[in-house]
Amino acid sequence: MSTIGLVAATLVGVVALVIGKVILDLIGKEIEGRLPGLCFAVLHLARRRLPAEMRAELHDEALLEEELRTILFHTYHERPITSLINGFTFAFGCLTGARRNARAAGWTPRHHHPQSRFTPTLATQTPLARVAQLTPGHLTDRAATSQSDGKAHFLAQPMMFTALALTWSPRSRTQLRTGD
Amino acid sequence: MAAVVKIFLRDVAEPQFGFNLMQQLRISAGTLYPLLTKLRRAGWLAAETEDIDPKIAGRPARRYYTLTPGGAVAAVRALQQSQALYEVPRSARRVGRPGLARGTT
Repeated sequence: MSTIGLVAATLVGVVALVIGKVILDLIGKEIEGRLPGLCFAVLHLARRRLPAEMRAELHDEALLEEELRTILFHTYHERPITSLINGFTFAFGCLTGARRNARAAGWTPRHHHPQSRFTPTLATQTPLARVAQLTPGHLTDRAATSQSDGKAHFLAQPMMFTALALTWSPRSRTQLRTGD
Repeated sequence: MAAVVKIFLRDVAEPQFGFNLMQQLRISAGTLYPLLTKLRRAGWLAAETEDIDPKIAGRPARRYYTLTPGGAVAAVRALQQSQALYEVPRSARRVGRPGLARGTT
């Protein structure tokens, strides 16, 4: 290899190193800039986990975003990793505790039926005479047939009733128990 | 819950904010905020947003929580009741000599 070729190769190598270093620095800064944003994204998810009617009271008015901002940027320049860990811990804590927080404020899940949850009753114990009173709206698609008069049509085979019992929706089970 | 209330009872007039409470109690936000919500709903705590200009103060505004007068009384009563529950019975105090505590006769 000639001297000119050697010098050119060295120059290209140096330039490639410099460009590589600059790009790595830029990537590092980009990631550094995005990481706090991830904390806020997690906190945003926590807000979404709250019931819509309680988001203002339990999230916005509680100033959780401001709290996270304080946690993140209070000591970010001195201890960025500690700040990020604290920020993520805070945001994930809010995420996992969102439903607990809502329940503490008096919210109950829409499909929460304490009786069916703690004292399970078999749907097969339901009197068959009451099953016949149901309209197709009470049943899942698989259970209801598409009869022209709009009423559920049942086959009397025991296998069919077992399948119905297994595909029953919690709502219809509650209606059967309460007789609504 | 008792630990949170005790912090408020140290100085009834001193307002506390979430981050400060988390640091003192070493609990996560997922544990603290439901407790604060419960206490606020029960009327034991009052919440107030700090009225500052974040640009001048150099930090975001905080949500401060303070014990209400009724909350302070109820909290002290509740703590006394819970302490009575976990108090060593008198009969056990007489028996609880060091030798017996180690299981020797």
